[in-house]
Amino acid sequence: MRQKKLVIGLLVMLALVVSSFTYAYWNNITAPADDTAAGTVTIGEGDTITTTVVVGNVSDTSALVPTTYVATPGVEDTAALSFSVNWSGGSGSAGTPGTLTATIDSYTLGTLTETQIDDMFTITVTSGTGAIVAGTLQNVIITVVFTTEPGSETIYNQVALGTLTFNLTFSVTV
Amino acid sequence: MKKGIKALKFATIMALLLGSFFSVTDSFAYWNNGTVPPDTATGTVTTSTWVQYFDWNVTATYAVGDIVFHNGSYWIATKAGTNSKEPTLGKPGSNWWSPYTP
Repeated sequence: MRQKKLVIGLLVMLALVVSSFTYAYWNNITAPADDTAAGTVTIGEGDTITTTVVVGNVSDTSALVPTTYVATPGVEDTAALSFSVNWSGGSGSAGTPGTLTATIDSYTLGTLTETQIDDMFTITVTSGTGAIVAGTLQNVIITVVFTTEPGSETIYNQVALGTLTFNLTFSVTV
Repeated sequence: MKKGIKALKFATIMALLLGSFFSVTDSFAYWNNGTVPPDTATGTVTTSTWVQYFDWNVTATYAVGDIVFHNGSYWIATKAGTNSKEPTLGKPGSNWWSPYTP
């Protein structure tokens, strides 16, 4: 019984202690002073690189004849020339995408004019132009077709056993 | 509690993103100046010979054995210098040409 009273008394004391030391916080309403912090950004460095296009000359020895004479075995009226285009540059250029164009600038055959050559041959860029990636070789195919026979013996003498030469320009735009 | 976790996640993601943007040092960038010098190349194709007959030409000089095409027929020269003799049967000059079948 006495112990029971003692326990009750301790609980009361505990309640008093807890309630007596209750503490409340509240904001004093005034805003805290501003603080400052420093952010650091490191700027990298850059450089300009120069890329170049390198293409070699190509020769074909198919010995073409006009289309109407290809019935003879081993005789061709078409030649496909593959030009290997190497677009490259300094460190960091590999993988750069670009656009490759190939332009047929001029062509000669004996003393014939380009108009006379046009009447007999077609020279076209068949494939390989368009998208190109720096650092990789790309083949551009130029197709020559001997479509029409010479219109006269004079022209025939210029064409037969002759060499048709055409000049190309390869450009890359980034 | 959940709001606190969400806020913590958001703060972590933002820290990672900002860290990836701003904390990279020694970065190096290349750029092209926009012009690439073009290159030129030459292609060559050779031709062969073939047998081709041309129209008879009044101004041409022919050798024996030359073959011409005239008025829908082929003719072979039987005499040299038949430039002014038209390949025609039954008319003067016909003896300069004989019909020919290629």
